[in-house]
Amino acid sequence: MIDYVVQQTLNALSFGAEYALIALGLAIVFSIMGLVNFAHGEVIAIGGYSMMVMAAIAFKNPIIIIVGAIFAAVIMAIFLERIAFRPVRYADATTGLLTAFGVSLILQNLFLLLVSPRPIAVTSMYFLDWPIKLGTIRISSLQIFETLATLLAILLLVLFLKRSFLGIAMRAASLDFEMVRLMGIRANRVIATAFAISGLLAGIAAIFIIARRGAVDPTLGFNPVLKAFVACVVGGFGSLPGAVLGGFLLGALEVGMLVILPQSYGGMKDAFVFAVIAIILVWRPEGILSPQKEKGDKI
Amino acid sequence: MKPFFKKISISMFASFLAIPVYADTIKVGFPVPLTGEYAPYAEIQGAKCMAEIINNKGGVNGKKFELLVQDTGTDTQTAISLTEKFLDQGVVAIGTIPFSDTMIPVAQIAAGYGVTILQAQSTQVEMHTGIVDNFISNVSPDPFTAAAAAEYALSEGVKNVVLLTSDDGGSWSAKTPLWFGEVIENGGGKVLSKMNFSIPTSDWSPQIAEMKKLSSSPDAVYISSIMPDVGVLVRQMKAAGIDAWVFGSDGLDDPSLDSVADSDKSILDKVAFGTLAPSQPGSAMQEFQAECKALGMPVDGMFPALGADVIMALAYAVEKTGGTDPVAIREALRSADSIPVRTVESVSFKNNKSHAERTVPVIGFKNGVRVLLSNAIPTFVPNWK
Amino acid sequence: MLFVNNLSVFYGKIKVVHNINFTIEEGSCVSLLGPNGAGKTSTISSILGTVNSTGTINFCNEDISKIQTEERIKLGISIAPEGRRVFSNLSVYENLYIGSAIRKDREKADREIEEWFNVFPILHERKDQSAGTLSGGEQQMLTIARALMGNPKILLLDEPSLGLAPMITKKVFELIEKLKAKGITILLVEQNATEALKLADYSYILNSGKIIAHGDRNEILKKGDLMSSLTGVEN
Repeated sequence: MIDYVVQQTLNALSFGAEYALIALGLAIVFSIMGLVNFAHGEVIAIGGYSMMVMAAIAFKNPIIIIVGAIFAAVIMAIFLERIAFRPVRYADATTGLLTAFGVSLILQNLFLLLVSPRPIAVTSMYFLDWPIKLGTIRISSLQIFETLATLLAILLLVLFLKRSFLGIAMRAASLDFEMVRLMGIRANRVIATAFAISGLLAGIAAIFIIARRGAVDPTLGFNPVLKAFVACVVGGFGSLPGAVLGGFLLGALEVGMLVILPQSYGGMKDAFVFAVIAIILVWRPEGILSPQKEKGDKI
Repeated sequence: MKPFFKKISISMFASFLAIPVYADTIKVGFPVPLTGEYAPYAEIQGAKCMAEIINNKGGVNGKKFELLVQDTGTDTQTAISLTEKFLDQGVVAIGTIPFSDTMIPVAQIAAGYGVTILQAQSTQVEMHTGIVDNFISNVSPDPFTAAAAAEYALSEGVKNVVLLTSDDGGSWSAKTPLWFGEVIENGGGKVLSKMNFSIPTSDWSPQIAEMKKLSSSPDAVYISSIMPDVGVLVRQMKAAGIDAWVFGSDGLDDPSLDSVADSDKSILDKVAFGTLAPSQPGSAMQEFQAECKALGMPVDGMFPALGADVIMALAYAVEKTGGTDPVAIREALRSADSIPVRTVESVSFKNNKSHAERTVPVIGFKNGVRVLLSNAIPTFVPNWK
Repeated sequence: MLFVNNLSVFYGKIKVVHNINFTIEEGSCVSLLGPNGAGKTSTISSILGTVNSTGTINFCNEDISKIQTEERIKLGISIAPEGRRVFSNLSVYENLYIGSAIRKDREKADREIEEWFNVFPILHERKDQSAGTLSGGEQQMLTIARALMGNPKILLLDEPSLGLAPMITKKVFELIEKLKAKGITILLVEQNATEALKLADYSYILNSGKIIAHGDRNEILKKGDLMSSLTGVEN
């Protein structure tokens, strides 16, 4: 019984790690420009499709594929910022949200029409996944990698935001964007950096998602981003620790409900998960770690 | 208006009219999901290719097929509008989004014109409860695929099963596993446990931990879900050391399942699914796909390929009735003992009226390659109506 | 150094500043006075390029009226804005560090941060604390220090005394006095006309988006009643 609890706890952790990784990508863009970037999922999908292309042109070296996929996601994120989000940067939040949804929809349908509506196998990341036995507990190497990668990403992100000039500028921009411009720092550079970081996080997420699923399809990233959005809301939108906390909390809730609810209530799983989230939001309407006064205080 | 221009405009108007007039064609309407959530299930590639093949041979009684295809974006309201448009253009049959929330309203509108909804790939039981009379599915409903898989499982000595159910895919994902379980129990087996999942699911660790906790280990797991999700389940079960069959429905019938065996040829040895048409190497479907590829009209996967059957069935009925009256065509379809189609030898709508009686294949894998494990009409089908 | 010619500022279709002209000589301190809503901050914003305006703004022999805000800052315009707007989520040190964003001479900038810490020991004491924890007066000092970290040719001070206790206001004006003594060119926007007039070499009085008077302290004070009602200066 103890083993079972430990096993499910580890499972919850790895669910949470994936949500946290994606939620961080949403939060970093939101904190700076107040944009809920639903197209983040399609940036993840681009990472996946780039792996498909690399496999098709016979790249075998996994390092090249991993670096290539992350690179593709970063470029895509910067590209989207340039062509889709920059023109609506100073428009109100609803415009940004609709733009993000539009971009997401257009990209999904492009994948569907130009590649295939069906899943396309990409098995080049399978090597990341092998079973590990710890006593009677079995976990997948992928669960460990993903949790470690998420923790590492958080650590590096905190270091970047605390120590580097651009990082400090990004934190400042999250509070008062115009004032950062009035310091002579180019707004485009700060925002492009935020998108590049979100692309980097999306690329890393893509690698783990592909390693587990072994296939890409047009909605590869959309569904996880919806979950990550929930994680951000629970954790406090725009707060990076909030995104991470929200991700792990959502992971725990989902696994918990799956385990606790009897099969006949199975269809109610999401309802129960959202009921708990609703209670949390009654307690903290702005999300758990949202700073009391200042929106977007990140660390 | 100057007489000269008048002349020109009249002749232009006449030529406008002339386009539909040339139409001594067999028109089939396809308000189908080319984009959106259900795009993977559009039958259009196979339908187009089969129409091309028949037209190249001179058509049916000198009439050629004309397919009216437009994207619904997986939206029911769009499907309804397009259906009305196609009905006005005189279609003999319609294929649409293969889910009841679209098929029922579309059928209700088409009924006024006597036109049949002839669906290439619909397995939903909701369509056979008598709610509409002008609906015909080219395949058997879900209880048949579940029963075929269960009968094969029993023949392999499967006793204890775990059923994975989800409400996210309607009866297809919620009830098909239960029908599988019913056939297993009817054959002396036992349902150890029922577990929940969501569609999509990309990590099955919680369910697998549940399976490990069971007092006796399962011989088989049944799931009716989509790819690549089930591929993940197969790999994670193997990694967790659960040596059980994974049985499934037509949702597993996707080329991406075969790729799961890329690095481990044996991993699919105990994976099998009851599906809608045989798709192993050498099957009629694969021959059809090769033929279409040669014509420059690639057909990817089973769902698109099933469109060929619809066109062949209509060709049969047009030939039989000698015309394109939609009501006569429906009656011809329902009275025939056997109608030749492409993905199986023949189908018949005589006994069931709203769905085909046809063999239900169970496909498995040997060394990572698809093999046909059985292909028969199941003997015991749970009461589903 | 700064020549503003025929400047109008618009918010949408509403014109809030009407064709004003003024000049700031290098090394001088010019004040822009007027009641609430006179268009003072709008004028400052148009110099910075954060609002839509027409007319020309010539800074160091270059027309800057068409270039981006960031580029204007790089040319040597710094702002200590109304309401202070310190980056309250950043530490005191980081605020000063961000202030030196456009600097290439990193080491010299670091030394200047140290110098500011000497001038304001309280900032040094709290250099790792978030700036949001400082008092209003301390935040105003930080804002001015942050603006000066960019090594500007001209410093724009927008309502530096607003919302501060009289004691603190006095300190702020002492600081501005010191800056002026150092030869820094200053454009001071104030409602507190008494203090501003004392400091400024030349003043412009703005009302309803128009300059209604200008001159040095004595010239302004001579205008009597009208001035007193606008600026609160008692004769």
